[in-house]
Amino acid sequence: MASPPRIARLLLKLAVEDRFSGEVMASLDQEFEELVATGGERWARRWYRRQVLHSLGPLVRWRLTRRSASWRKAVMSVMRSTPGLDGRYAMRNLFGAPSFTLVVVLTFAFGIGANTAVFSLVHSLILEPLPFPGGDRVVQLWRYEPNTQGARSVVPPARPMVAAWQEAGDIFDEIGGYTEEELHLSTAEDVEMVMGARISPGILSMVSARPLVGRLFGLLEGIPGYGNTVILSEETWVGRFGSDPGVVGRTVLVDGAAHTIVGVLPGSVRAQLEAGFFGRRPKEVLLPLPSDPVGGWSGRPYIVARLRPGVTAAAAQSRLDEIQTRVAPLIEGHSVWFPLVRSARDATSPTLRRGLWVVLGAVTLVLLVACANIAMLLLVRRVGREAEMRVRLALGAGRTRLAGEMLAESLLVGCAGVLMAILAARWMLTGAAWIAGTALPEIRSARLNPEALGFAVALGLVTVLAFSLIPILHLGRLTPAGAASREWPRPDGHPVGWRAHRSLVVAQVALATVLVLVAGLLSRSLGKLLAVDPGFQTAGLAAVGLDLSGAGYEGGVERIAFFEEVVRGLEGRPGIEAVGWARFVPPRVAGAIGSVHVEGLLPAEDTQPEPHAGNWVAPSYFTAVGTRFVAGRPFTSAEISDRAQVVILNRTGARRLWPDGRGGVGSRIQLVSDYGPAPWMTVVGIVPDVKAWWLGDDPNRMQVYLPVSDVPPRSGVILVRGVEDLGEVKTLVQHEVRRLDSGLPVGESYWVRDAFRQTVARQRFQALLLSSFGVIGLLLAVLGVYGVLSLSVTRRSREIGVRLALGATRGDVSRAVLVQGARAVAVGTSIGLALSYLAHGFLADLLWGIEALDPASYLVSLASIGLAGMAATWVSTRRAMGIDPVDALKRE
Amino acid sequence: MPKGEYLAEFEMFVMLAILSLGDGAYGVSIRREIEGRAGRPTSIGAVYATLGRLEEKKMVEFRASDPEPVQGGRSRKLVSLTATGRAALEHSTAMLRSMMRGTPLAQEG
Repeated sequence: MASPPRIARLLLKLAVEDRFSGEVMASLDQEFEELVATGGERWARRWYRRQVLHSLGPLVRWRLTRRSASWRKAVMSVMRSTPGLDGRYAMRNLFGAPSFTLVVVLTFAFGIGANTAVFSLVHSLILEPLPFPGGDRVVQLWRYEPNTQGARSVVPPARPMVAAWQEAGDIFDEIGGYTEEELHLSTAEDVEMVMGARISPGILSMVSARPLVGRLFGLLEGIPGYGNTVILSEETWVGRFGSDPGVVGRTVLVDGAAHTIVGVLPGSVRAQLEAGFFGRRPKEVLLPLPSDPVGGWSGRPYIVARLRPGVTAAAAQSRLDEIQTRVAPLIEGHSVWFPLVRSARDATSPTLRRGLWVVLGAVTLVLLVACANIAMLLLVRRVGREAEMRVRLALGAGRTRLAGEMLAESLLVGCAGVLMAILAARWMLTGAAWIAGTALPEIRSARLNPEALGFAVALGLVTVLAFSLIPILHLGRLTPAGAASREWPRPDGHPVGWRAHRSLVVAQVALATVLVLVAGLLSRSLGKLLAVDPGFQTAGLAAVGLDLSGAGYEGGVERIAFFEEVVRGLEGRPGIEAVGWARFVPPRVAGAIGSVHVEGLLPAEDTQPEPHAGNWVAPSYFTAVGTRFVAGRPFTSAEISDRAQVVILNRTGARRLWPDGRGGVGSRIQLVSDYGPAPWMTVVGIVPDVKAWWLGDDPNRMQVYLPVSDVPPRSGVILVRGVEDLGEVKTLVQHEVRRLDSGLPVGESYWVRDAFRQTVARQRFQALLLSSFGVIGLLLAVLGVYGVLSLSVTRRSREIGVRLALGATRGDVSRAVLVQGARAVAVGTSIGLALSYLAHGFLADLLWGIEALDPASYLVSLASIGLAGMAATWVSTRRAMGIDPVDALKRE
Repeated sequence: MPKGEYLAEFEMFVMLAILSLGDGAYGVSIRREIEGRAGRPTSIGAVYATLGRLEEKKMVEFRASDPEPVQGGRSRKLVSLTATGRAALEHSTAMLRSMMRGTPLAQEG
């Protein structure tokens, strides 16, 4: 049934007097219903809103002017009380100087708003425990191996380790595993690729999940042969099954096999899982993770556990180290692995955390600059009102009374500022989410939380009180004696308050210098990253995922033939310049940890296994990505069909294996991973290096290309070059795939160049955020310089007039002002430089390709600060030069 | 008549509407009457604010009607003019008429 607009109805109810309320609401509701019946709901709602809009004025006016209104008397009595009078006087003062009030409130709103927004981010991403009971005890369990550079290669733990941990009952009260994968979900209408996860029951009990419908996985579910079951996410249930409560017990095809739906997982639980540790892409279906009869799970899942109450992560770590000595011999391969316990909260995004702390630091600087501005505005105002205060003191006003008035003024400004700040923080969070885009989903999940609001209010209060103190303290020194006298410059030639003003300006410039420097460094680092050549032509190269698992293509030859057939079908199409396929495409290739042996050479003693990038490619891959061979040739079709043991290396890899250049194409190598040694393979080609994982990837990385026939992939990417519209690419590939297998969907389609850009999303986010802070800081500082110099010029206009009258040239006068400004800017910049130098170590981790003391960034940032400061000084100087001595003396 | 007891234009409209509606005058019917006769869009809030003000000046009085003859029917706050209200309305309209006398508007009316 149609109902009147809620907010309008509530407003009316609040405005109308109680005794009429029932009557008014009922009759309006009745008319609304009649209108819905005759003119439709939309029209009726519009009519209702107009009624309310036009009713509010008369109703409120009436209530305000009623003779009998008791609250009116109460308000009047408050207004006539001392605090009331203070408030009224303060209000009048503030409205009397609207530009002052506006600037202060806006500065306040920006400074505190930005802090609140960033604090919200930090709070929800770093400080807050995971959003479920015992979330602070959830840890991720890994294994790592120290490599030569001292960095750790961290991977999911091996099965025997997990089995041993499950047995040791004194560390964890829950342990679970999960893997994520793309799955084919077939409903009555269609087959689609969806993101899915295989999970052990422990994962769901860790977040105390309750099903929306049906049940969740039980302990038996993971045992092979128990039967195929599936849990749907709430979104999938609503979107694909129309929220049908009868869905439990129905059968769907997942990867071609029949699975019985046992329940629906609430969206809130999924969000909790993803906030903690569950990977970034939303999972639509959950399958049981197959457990291993001797403990642990198969499929090398990620392992998550909840510590027993009272067990710290450090204690767990030492227990696991102890267990490892027992387990190590059971792990296949030759590498030495160590267990690693990480708090799930810490593990979410370690680099993002560091970045957020820097952002929080920067935004605090912005607040300080803003505070300095507010303090200065208040000081300027105080100087302007000194005469008034003296007169009031002379007339017998108490100092407490004057102080009360000032406090009231600050509090009013503060309240307005905090309200604006909260609004500003909301916009800024929306802005941050927009900047972060889809690449940093954590940022999107951040909300303005109660803690952040409390933070804003507290910050506002502290700021207000701090500022009220300055003029109030000054009040103590004020005497009525000077009330009648005009003010003269001090013996040092500077106007009253100049010292305080100057210190504030210097502080502002110093803080702005730090901000601009940090912004400059991050932007240059980002610029360097974006300018990195990925090693192949990414522009115009589209990738479309294709997954054959579960579609009945069991034989490797059959799968390769399918991919080849799709590529062949696309090749002749108009517009397509090149097409190829591979298991992966950068920046999303596989990584393997191991070492490479060269036939005939003994492995060097210090050879350590290290991560290298690996890909399984078809001969057409190199054509599609546009590789120019350094030496040798691509794989041939014959090599694929013969399953020949051949390999292609990157230039760096070849140089590392044969530093003397005596080797390469024609030599034989062997890959050794912790699965054991692979067969010997002949190198048939050397290709240029590419960035395998992200734009800032290690240039020293070994990259290995194997023929698709080595491990015929179940899923891969079709690469298409030359078609301008991504949707069209997908349609073309879909068409070819459907031609061969009508039931097979295609996966995600994307531009390879965008995928590369996404790899630097965090850097982009930080650089953009900090650049905006840098610009704001700089603007505020420039305003500060200009404001103070202008004030100084105004207050010295008489003195300047006298000087000009006595024969000083305008050049002398402008030089004096210029020197005054330049000195403040120079001192501020130097302090800022010193501060940045002290903090530069903290930045080093966030930068790529430049040093934390990068001279170019320093020069550019200093130049911009200096120029901006001098521009502000110059404008003030022109004012000084424009002073007419006759005018200035006449005013005397 | 003491100062402040003259009727404002909208007050006059409301009182005239009450007069013409007779026994059936209540908020919504008054609003509709004004809209229908004067062609002036009127909000329910304005009507009730005016009724409240007139009641304070003792010019109108409220009484509850019998509940509507349907299940769950509610009783309305019916409104009627008091003797003071009637006098004030007569006074105001008489003033208006005498002001109009002799002007071109008088013929049109």
